[in-house]
Amino acid sequence: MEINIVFQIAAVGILVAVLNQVLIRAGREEQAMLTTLAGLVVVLFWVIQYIDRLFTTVQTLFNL
Amino acid sequence: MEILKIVSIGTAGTILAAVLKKEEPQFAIIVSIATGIIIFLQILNCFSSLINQLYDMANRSGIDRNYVSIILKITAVAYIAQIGAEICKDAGESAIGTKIEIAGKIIIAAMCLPLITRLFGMVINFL
Repeated sequence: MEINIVFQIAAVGILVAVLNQVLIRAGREEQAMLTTLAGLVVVLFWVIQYIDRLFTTVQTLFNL
Repeated sequence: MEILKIVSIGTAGTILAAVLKKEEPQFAIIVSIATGIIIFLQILNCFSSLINQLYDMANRSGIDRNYVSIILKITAVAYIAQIGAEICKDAGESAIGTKIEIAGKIIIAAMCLPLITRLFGMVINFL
């Protein structure tokens, strides 16, 4: 259903948080930063599709 | 019912955003954006029937069609401007949020201008 996207984003967020801690403990702060960025980019791709869908629905609905 | 689904999606989203708030604040913002969009998509479906009834009433009561479409456009602009402004304020950037609100108001004012000039024309004809 629609709610899956929110759970997926939260899962990626938690995964990145855990990976961050692991990498920081292992002394690799740069990789930690890079994994956060990578997770962010993936999640943004998912959300962009929903934003696009929202704006097209609003445009067709209100025939802007 | 419709409202139960929306409230459950909203609370689930807020809880997940709270979980992510401390470790990864960026993801919390994205979770709140996604929840807002999903709730808004649910609402849009039952909004379209509302709009059709509005058009029928306007036709029956003889109101000009593009007056109603201007009203709908203004509500759409207000909706989207408010969504954007709230997202920015949630993320802590209230300055950007108010800029978006001001831009929305200006766009709405620009849309109303032709109506206002027509109104003045009519008033002047009366006098």
